Amino acid sequence: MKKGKVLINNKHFKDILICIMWPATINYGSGILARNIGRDMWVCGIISVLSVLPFIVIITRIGQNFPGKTIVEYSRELLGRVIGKALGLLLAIYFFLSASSSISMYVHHLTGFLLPQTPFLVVTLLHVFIICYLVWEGPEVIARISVFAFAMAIIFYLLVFAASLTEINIDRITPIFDTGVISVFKASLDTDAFIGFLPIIIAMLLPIVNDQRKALGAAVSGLFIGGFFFILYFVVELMVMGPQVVAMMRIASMDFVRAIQITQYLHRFESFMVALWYWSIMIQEGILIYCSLESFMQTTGIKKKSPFIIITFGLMLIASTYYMGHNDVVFLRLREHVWKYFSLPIDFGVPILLFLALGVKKIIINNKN
Amino acid sequence: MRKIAALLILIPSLLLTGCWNAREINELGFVLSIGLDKTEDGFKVTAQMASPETFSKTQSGSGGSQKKPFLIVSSTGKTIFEAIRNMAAISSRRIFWAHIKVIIISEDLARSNTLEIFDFFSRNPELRLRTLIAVTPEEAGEIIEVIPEMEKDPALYLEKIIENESLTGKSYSVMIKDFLEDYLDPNVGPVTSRIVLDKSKEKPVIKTSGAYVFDGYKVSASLNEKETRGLLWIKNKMKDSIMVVYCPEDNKPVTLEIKSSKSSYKSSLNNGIPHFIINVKADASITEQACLTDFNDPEKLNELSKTLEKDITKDIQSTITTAKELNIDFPGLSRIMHRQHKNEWHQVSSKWENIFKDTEVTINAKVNIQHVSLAKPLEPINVQ
Repeated sequence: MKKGKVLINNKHFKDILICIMWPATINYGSGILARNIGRDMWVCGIISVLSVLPFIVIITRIGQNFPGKTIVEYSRELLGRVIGKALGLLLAIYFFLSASSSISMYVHHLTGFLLPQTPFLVVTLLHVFIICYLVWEGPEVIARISVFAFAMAIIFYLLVFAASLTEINIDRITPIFDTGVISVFKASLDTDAFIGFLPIIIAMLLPIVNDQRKALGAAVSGLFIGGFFFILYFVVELMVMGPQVVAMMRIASMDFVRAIQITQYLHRFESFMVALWYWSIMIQEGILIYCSLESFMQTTGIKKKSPFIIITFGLMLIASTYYMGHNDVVFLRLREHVWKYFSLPIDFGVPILLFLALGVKKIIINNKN
Repeated sequence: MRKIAALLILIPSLLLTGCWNAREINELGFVLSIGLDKTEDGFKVTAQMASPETFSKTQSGSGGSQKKPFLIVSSTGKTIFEAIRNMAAISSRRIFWAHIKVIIISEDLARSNTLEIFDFFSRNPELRLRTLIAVTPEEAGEIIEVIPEMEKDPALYLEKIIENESLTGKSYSVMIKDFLEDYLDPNVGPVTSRIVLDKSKEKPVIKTSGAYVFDGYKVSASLNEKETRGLLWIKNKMKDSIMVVYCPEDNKPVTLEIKSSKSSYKSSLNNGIPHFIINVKADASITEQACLTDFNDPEKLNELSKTLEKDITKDIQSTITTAKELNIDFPGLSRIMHRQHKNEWHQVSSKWENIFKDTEVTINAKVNIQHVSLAKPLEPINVQ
């Protein structure tokens, strides 16, 4: 473990954000959206990216008022000690459960398609070991790997595009706003349930970003590039399979790969795609667990990261992932019908709450002056 | 920490010495095509597997005296999966579905209920969604057992002849993913290839001819070659095909190769009656003529274009008439209406079945013949 102040540069910061935007969204998100809104799922993606943007601006501006402090640290200053600690604990749990959900999705990829006879727990155990190792190494290492993961993501999308070209039919994504503008906006909340945590993650990573002045630009470009990735996937998936087939699938992204090929000599490339996709989902999980651990340590006042904490977190992660994901029917119901009611109030409510608290604080200070 | 890390690496390395799902290649039976037939109490599944000897240069294994260049295993069961699992009782190799190219369903079975079939093949993660679907009036198991003359393997042969739809213009080709799209659409009838066994020759020959139309979960009717060609025109699938028309002057055949074609559509809803305009634009060239008409004369060429336009219109009209008679929207006109008039569509979508038969369709074909290949027809020329 590195000692001293850890810093990541703005490019690393952007790459991390890109990597946490798209892997889970294309995985379970596309099927959920297709069932909810059909061919307009890609429009939901655009709306969702645009709706996350103001929250990123808000949270970055708040963070710049508290240099070197994470959301957990400055929420105590803004909301008071008790509410601040409660919020810190809530965020630790939220990041932790989001990581469990993300790991479940990864394991379902493997056990559902490539390793159907391997028990869920075995893949979970091995994967959590890697995630714990990443978290032990810290955000700097995660950030460096994210550069590689971003490159892998580009190859992933080039392959997807090349393999889909012969099957693309633009008619499958029209008409736009088929079931009405309001229902498309409502359905975009389903996408928010996958990408809405971006502002809070930014609030956790901001103190370690090297150039604070350009942090907002990096965050926004991360949002747009990551958003472009999953929206492109939605569009191509729809243009190849149509909304009915996407809606039928549980993990539509993998079933989509079953429907495309790059020439007849590279027609079964599910394993390639998982290998390329893996790097980004690993970054997502690594960052979520890092944020959870940091939130927990800052809330409880633990100063030093120790092997004991990492191992405890790892064991808890295995247990929670197992209970959350080993039954894929329960997991799908959780992600499709329940998760958004838990995640969206935190994703959007916390930045608004802190923004209001900062505003009130500034008014009070101005009045005092 | 290092000791713990070392232990964490060491323990899984010892426990997980092989992949949990390891399947050795010599223990697998690669299914290349499958035939599904109906039995009294369920299904008969016939799997045609690749024979390692056929695809290897050196002889291996003990099946030296084997006559067929592939392996056939069949089994029955109340469900498809039960039938497949029952194969394990007679097959030493584990059935592997990842390389399946064609699924052939007998008409008997397809006329009863196909839900279970497509449910099974959509669920199975090994199977490609690009696998071709075909229905046959014969026994499906019999079709995949026929040894083709041109290929080592019936599956490869079937795949090629089904995909040749664009060359013949008389049959239809569909992959599972596209079939499912129509299957899951409450207003569109899916269409599959039709495979027939020509027993008139000394050795039976498999060929594609026409198509089958589904209504809900069952096959409802078959389309003849003309109706199928009309469907190909509507669905923009007549790319490299040919059309044989007759010389306007002496009624002798002229073969035209379709170089490119593009169908576009306009729709409207007048007093609750759907109206569609199908505009077909095609580029063609003369590849053969039995008459002595000189088509380098623009007027005569124009006449030939008009003849082809009439034939295209007739093809499409016959398809639309059949669709209206069957009251199945297999040309997918509902999708056009939905795309172009989404608000009106949402008002009529629930009663589409009732209004489809009143649909009015106007067809406009425009043919451009740009190449005649020869400067003059094959008649004696006096060179000065």
